[in-house]
Amino acid sequence: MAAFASLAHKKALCDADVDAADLHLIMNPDIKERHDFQSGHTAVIDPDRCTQCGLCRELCKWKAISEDFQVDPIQCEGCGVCYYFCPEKAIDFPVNTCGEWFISDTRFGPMAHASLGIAEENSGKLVTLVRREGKKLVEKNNLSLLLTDAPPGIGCPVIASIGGATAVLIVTEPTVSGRHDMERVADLAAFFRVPALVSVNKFDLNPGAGEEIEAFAESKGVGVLGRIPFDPSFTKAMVEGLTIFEYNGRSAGADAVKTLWEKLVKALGL
Amino acid sequence: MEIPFSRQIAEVYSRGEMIVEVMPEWKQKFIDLYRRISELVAGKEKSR
Repeated sequence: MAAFASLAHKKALCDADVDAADLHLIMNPDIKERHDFQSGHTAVIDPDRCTQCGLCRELCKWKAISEDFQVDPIQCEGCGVCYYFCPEKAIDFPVNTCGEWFISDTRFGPMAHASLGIAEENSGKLVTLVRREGKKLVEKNNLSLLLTDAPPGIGCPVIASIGGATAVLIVTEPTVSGRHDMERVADLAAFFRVPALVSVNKFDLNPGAGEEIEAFAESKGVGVLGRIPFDPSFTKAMVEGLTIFEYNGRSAGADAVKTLWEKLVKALGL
Repeated sequence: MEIPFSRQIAEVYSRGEMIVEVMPEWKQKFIDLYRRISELVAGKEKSR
């Protein structure tokens, strides 16, 4: 993603992996705007108003209310049943601040990104927010592309990351788990009718498994875009906080990513 | 314990195999790691 960021023209960047954001480590963003991300609610009992009637403890499905009428914020799912039924109106139900989102400048263009608090929920909503802000950056700066770094897996944040995208590039590895996850993401993309392409990273670690992934992709109508070799330059570049081109533009990895990007531009007509 | 950047480990993992089985030198290291974690957890339980 960082390498693509340095190759693409007229683009904004978006880190949609809000649970474990990492694009900023290489982009070194200069944060221009900082906002709270608010989502969900947690019940809070006011001891002065509470008569300890016990109705909330009976109704709470999450067993989040202790014998001395304190709400455990981790157990509380924010359903609001206690708040709604409390006869004394002794329960407040404030909105949670679960993270922050940012608009930044980077050496490769503007970027929308976020950081979700530890053990916080609603990461899908935050992904949707960050992508919307990314799109605004594209429009405001007269750009033509939003490059989004999506999270791994197939859960809510992935669904939020790929819905409505022009295309999804699935980067997988020739491993048992790589193939498993790739199959599921390919199904997800097909379900949302987003064109998918696949690239096998570290292909030469296990060429047999890599070829099987490519054959599977073709059988599902997922375009096979190209292979990336196992190249320690990637790791060294990451440690330095650089893209592969800034670290070593003549490495085998840099060559492969450049070819991959050219094929992607051609395949999508960018 | 330190696990190095190792192409061999990556290849073993890619086949869905475990390094403690394919690279026997890792077996004792993981047994030791498990033992040290158990001791830490036991120490914590006692101090409660």
